[in-house]
Amino acid sequence: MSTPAPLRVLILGPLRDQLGCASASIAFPEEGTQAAFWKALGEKFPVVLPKHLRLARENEFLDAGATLHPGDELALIPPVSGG
Amino acid sequence: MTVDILLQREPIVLKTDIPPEAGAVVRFEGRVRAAEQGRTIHALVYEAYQPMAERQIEKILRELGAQHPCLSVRVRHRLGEVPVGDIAIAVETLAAHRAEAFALTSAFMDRLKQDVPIWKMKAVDA
Repeated sequence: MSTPAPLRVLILGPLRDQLGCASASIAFPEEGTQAAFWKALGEKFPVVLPKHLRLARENEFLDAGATLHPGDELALIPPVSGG
Repeated sequence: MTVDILLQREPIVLKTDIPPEAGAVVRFEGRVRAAEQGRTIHALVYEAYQPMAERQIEKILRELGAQHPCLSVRVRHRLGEVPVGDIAIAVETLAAHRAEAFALTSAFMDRLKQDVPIWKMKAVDA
């Protein structure tokens, strides 16, 4: 069985400086859930991630129950502060 | 309702021809303050995830326009280093009557500060 394509994650705003990179590749979690993604992200970046991070795909925030797909490009959105 | 959105590095200048149907023009300007978290600063640096920011601004305006029918909304947000006193965001809402224009402008600013991926990246000290 072939390995599913990893998730490509854009790291945005102040989080980029905190994590020290603008993007990351995360192995696709078997369950395809957001909970599994957050767990995998925490393993990739063993630092205290800010609270209230949100995930977006194709310029839209993901609903809580939305599933992930192999090869998805996700944006990791820290709390915003425009205006 | 027409919507016109621009995220820009240049200073914001909004000049609009006001159509005769517009009985109300509400302009909000958010400017960079000299004090940020107790420090005197020279500027703020803004950054956006631009495609999503533009998409979300339009989506929010469409939602709010359904609740508060207006004629047009123009939004400008500055990116990069914005000196104290400069406009960081401008919203100009035209409507037949003032209530809709005030309501949409105010609600839009609340939503911008929750759901539009734009960040104050750092303050530049004076």
